[in-house]
Amino acid sequence: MSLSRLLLGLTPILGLTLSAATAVAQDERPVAITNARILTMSGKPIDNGTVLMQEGVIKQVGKKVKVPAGAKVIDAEGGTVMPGLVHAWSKAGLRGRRQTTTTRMPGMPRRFRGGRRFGSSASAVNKAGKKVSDSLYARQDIFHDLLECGVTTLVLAPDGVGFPGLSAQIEPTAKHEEGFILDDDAYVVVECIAKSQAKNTVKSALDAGKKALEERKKPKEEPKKDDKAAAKKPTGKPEKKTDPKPADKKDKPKEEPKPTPKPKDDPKPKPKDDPKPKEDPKKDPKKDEAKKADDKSKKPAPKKREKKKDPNAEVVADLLDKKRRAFVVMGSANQLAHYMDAVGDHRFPMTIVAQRDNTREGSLHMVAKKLEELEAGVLMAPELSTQTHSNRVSSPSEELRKAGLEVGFLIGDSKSAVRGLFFKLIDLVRHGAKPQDVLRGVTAVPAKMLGMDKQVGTIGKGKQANLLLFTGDPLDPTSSLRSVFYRGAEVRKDANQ
Amino acid sequence: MMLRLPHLAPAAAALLSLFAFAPNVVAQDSKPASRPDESTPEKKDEKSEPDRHMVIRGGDVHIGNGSVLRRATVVLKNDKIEAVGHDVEIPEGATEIDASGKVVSPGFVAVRAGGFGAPNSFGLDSIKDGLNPYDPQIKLGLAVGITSFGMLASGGRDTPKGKSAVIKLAPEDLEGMLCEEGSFVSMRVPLDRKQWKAFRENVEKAREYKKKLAEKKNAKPDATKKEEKKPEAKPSGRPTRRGRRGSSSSGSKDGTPKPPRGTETILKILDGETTLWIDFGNGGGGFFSFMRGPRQPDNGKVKQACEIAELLGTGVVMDRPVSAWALADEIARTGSSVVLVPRDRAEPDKGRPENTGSNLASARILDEAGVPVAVISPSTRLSNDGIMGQDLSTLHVDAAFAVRGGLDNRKALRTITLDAAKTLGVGSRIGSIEVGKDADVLILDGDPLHYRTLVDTAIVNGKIAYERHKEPYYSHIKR
Repeated sequence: MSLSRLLLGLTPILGLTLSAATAVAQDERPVAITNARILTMSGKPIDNGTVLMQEGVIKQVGKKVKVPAGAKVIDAEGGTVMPGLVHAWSKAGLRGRRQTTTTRMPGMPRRFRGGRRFGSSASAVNKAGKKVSDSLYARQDIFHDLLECGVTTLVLAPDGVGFPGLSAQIEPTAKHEEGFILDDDAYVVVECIAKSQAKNTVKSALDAGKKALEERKKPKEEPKKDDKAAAKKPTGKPEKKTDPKPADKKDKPKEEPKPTPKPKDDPKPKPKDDPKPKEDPKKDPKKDEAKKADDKSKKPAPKKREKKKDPNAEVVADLLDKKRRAFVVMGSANQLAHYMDAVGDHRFPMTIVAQRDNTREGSLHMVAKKLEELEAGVLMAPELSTQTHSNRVSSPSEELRKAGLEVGFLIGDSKSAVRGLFFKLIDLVRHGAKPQDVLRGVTAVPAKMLGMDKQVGTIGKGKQANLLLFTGDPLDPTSSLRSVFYRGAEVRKDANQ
Repeated sequence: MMLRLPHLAPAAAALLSLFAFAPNVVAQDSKPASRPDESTPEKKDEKSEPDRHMVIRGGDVHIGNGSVLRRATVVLKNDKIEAVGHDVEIPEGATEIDASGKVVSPGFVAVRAGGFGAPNSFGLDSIKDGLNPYDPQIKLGLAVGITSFGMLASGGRDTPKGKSAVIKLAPEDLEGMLCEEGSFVSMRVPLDRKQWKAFRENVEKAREYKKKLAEKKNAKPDATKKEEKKPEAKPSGRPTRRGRRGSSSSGSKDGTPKPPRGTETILKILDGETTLWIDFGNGGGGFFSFMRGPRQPDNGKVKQACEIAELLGTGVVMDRPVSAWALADEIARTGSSVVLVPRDRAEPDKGRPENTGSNLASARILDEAGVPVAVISPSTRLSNDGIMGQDLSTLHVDAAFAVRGGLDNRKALRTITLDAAKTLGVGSRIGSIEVGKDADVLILDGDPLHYRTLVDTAIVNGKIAYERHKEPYYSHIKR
């Protein structure tokens, strides 16, 4: 009796403590890390400094910071504090493998599977308005695992060629669907490969977007509201909330009853959804006529139907209007040539994502000038490379940086990859990169590429308190990650257990 | 001696530019006319580049058609050859290259090749969209003198078909890489009785269709009708399955009859729009087909190829027959040309009375009979595995094998330049240093066919694409 009562009485308390531990600890108590070397990533490192944080935000940084009474003090013991890693291009937790095409060899029967495999990928799609957040399952350990390894900002990018969709920033401490997505349209993903179908898809998607943009600008009486709505940065959101419904009708009813996304279901609707938005812009005049005809026969209100917009075209229109940013997958100089061929004169704020150095199709630094003209930063794998048929090791990221481009790094999608990240960075430093450059490349640079440089990526007053505490210099192989602070709460202790 | 046609050059340039750089050049041409002020030149600089001139001075110029001009000058304007001769006008501000003591030659044309940034053959819808102008092999190809090559992405079996392109080794220039698309198709011999019958019927159908068209044209000699016919004929000529389906569904437009099924490519051949290659079943010329060992006499196949040429009434290109020399006169009569590997070997068939097997002198014999000969290496790839000396890295040495068999030295250069280009259907664009042609020029340090000759400079589309001392491949060889 008494025991059960006791338990009953305890449950709310237990629940509270649990939630506090799992979600971000919104502790009122300030936390101070003292006696630390602080790599702010925005200025010179501060030796023997203190970081004071409260309510998830950095309150003060510097040598002479007064630690308020009642603050929780963590002695860094001469260790180093740096901002949390910003992973701007992650596939962690995304289900389903990337499609690959197997093309039939001429003369071989249709079922013959020995055809040549073309690695890059299958058919390109225009699903610019599709959010990766819709097909994401929150209850996965990987997000918290990555956080414990130091990834405090995690943005997931959808997979696919063409315009596969919008990326999402997630809240790694959330264990439930609610509050799991911090931003469901961080950027637009674009990939154009050296294939006619992909190039044509990109071309037609951009043309549709341009058309939508022109239409948006033309009528100034009614859609002004829409324009204003679109003008605010987060604005695509109200539009999209209403818009994707018609297009994604097939997806939504499936997903809503079961929050678990079926990985196998996802690729299937792709081709179904795809042709509609693609054809719409092309056949605009015809379609309008058809619509009018329909309206006359069916409904007396023609204007209402015209308001229906293609969500994909709207997203691309926003992009062309420079209200959004794009992350463009570009592995090689050759891919850039084909991309430019497809994109033509369309320009938009972009970041280039190079997953590996492809010497067979030309390293990116061969076209550094063109990249500079595009005003694009590059996010690339922190890896060294060798030219074909040679033993000469080159550092592609360093070549690009020498050419005047801003270079950030891709951080792995698994625990082991993130643990190995700093060794890769050390390797880059051994081959000529500056330590501050490589560390900025995993923090401040990607934050800037995401447009989040005011919140994350550096250590300064008012920034999110996402910090990594190392026992020594992060680029010293003998030092280790001691703890990770996410929004002021320590999410990991004693890495060296 | 002066080969200069100042009136033709701009016209040719404009015509050819329609192919690759249409918007650019049209803008260039219209600008000078609408330029009364001095302020406009600045704009011109911004929008379209000023004309690039390049002068190659003092070299022995092998024109490519067999003649040689000693210590002559070649003037290049943009991507075309402007003038060739001894006392040609040299434009101001031209980049000069001193070639005295050296040999200037047209870029070599490999009639069949792969690699060099060409796309994978299978599952390809547009050749241009699969090109890779950053392939490291391109520089290697230029280092051995190859500036363009023919690529057959897919060929026909018992009927002419194919997706083909002539691709240039233009490094870092996607637009400049594609020289010509669809200028040749292929079919394979031998045809069995059934296939031969079907093919003959198709050719007859095509002939009838042409006759019908001609009758229609005569019946209604409107100028408009004539123009309409051409664009209708083009899409129907697509040999791909998709193209066929499209044409069947679209039906006949404007009363012009639809070409019968299976005759689209044949019609193109009859109209001279494309060249037919006869595949002798030698494979792609890759490593394995090369390793298959000595070849079999193929007199029968050559005869059938001649029959095909007679049936079509146009010359065909025989792709690497081994006993063509035995039927040289018959081949000459059909107006066909032959692609040869001069060092191909085949045992003669002792059971037969006629000449069979291979002959080192086959190039000379064919040439004397009046058959144009193009030469290709045993392996049609650049490879650094076991077949060194037999791949495309020594294409000029393969032409020299024809010289060994008695072919005239100068004519032998034709086999890897002008005549090779002609078999690909691009003889009017590449293959020789003549006014109005593409500026694909090599500067060599010796006779083009000598084994020790190396390429000093390779110019493709009027741009320096390769310099020996700058690239790692042959820069260490000092002379």
